[in-house]
Amino acid sequence: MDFSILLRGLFLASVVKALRHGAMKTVFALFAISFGISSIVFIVAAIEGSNLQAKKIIELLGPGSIFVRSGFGGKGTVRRLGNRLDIQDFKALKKVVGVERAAYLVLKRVDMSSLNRHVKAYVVGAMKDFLYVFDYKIAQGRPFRPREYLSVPKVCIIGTELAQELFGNASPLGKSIRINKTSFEVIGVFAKKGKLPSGRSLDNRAILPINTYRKFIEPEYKRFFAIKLKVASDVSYNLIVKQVRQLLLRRHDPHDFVVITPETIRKFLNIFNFTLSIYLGLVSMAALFISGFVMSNIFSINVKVRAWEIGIRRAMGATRSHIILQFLCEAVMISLLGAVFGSILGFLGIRFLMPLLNIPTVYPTASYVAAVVFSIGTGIASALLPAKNAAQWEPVRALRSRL
Amino acid sequence: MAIIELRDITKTYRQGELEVKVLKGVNLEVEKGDFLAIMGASGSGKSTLLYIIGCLESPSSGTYRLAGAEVSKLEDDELSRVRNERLGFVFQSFYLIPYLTVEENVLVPTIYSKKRRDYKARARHLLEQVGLGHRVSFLPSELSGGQKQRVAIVRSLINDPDIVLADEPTGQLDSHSSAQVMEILSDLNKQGKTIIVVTHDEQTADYASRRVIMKDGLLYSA
Repeated sequence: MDFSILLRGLFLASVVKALRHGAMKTVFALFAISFGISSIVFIVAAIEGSNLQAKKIIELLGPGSIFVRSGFGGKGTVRRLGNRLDIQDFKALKKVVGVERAAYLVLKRVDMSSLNRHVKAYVVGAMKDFLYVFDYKIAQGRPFRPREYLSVPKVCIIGTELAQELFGNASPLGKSIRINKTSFEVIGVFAKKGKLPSGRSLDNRAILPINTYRKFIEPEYKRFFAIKLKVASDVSYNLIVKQVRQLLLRRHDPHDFVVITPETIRKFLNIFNFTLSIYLGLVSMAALFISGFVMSNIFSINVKVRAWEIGIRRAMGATRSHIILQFLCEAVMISLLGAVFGSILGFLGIRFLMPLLNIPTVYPTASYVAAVVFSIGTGIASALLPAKNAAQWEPVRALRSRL
Repeated sequence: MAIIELRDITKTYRQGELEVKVLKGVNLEVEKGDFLAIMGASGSGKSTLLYIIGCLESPSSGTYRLAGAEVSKLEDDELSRVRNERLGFVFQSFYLIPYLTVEENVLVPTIYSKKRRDYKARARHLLEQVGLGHRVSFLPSELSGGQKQRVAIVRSLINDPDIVLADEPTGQLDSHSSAQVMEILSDLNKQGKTIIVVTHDEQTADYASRRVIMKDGLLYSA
């Protein structure tokens, strides 16, 4: 192949002008390739995004943690999310060998107000190890003092979002929040925790010491939503998880609880990821296949319509490889444009569709690289055969095709 | 020595079962600097003969020497090179590429040339010589038939070939444009180019210094 022709200005100008001249064909080919490419950009980003999701959730769970959550209930019961764990569960779990610390989660949605603002948000009752076990870090102010867990102080620690909602940009420290006609002084703000997989934010909560919670929010709670355990680093994590599960099974129906570990999160998300990859993979392969089909049809029509042009170029000294290169160049140019348009379409898809699928929006470089590679690949694959055919024609036969 | 030498050239087209013998043993010698007109009725095989001379198709049998070299032994790429460097073509229906300007059309053969020189200046100079200096950036669709054919002639000359082959160059032109085109070819001949014109038009053939007539696949001197 004589590739030096690619450096001739007139050759490249002629390729561009040919594409402009055949505007309709070019636009159709462009559409075809763009749709195929956008689906590839989207799928790569979707897989990347859900991997990121997995990492975030595992981080949220925190290191060396086991999270026991209420389940949806089994057959014959009303299947709804509720508080199905009780203080007996908590005491039993705390005694499992290897469990260092444990805390349970009680919370209630209430009305809260500052001097001039009013919101509905969760208030959490924190027992002594709660902040540690649930991985709350204090960003401003101070944590609860040990004796504050024993008495009934009217103090609270709040999340950054709640602080923003109630106090705007002013510092919330030392200010008061009213809950159920009682004022609580803000003594601390905890560091941003982010969102749950469900999309619910963990940063618009207020935390009260457990006795305060019991006195002012919910005096008679018997059951609660979740228990979290911190595991010692020198014992087998998997063994403890097994024991926790067995213990709970003795006391509950299997549908009453869910034990969440990094392993279960990974397993669940892998299934989700796999399904997503298969589905989106098939869709984008189909899209790419259709693009390739449309493109190769357009290219073979293109070559037929311009047979006489091939003839005259051959008469003027073009070799077979020159003809092939000319049509491949046209295909590559369409493909590059298609990669750009496809990436833009894919970008829009990521921007507007990923939030609907509850996947973090990411724009991975890999997807744009994939776009260019697949685009040029499809372009060349679909243009090569028609171009090769055209190059094989005898110059005279090509010339006569106009008549 | 003759620049073109054809010996017992035959050409048979196969259309399914049917065999059509278009050339039945043609002998022809063309000297350097000749202006030859090949005449004959349509279907007589005169265009086929021209295309064989132009290396656009190969004969079924016989030998063809171009400037002493045996053409039938050349590879496809070498034939392309011969067409590019030694031959210029002018066709009845011009074959200008519609999306390229006059100047770009003229320069197309240089894309495939190994030689590098200031083709742009040469193109402008030649276009001015045929009275199209003011049309360099026009598209073919903006030109008259006569102008198109003059562009095609300039295109055939851009690589400075020894031989210009013209297939019914006046076939789509009025008498005034025909005369203009033939004057140009005549001038080229005076500058030393070998010209071969295929035509069935007497007036066109009158410009040539020598005539041959094709009839039923055989060539006769006039």
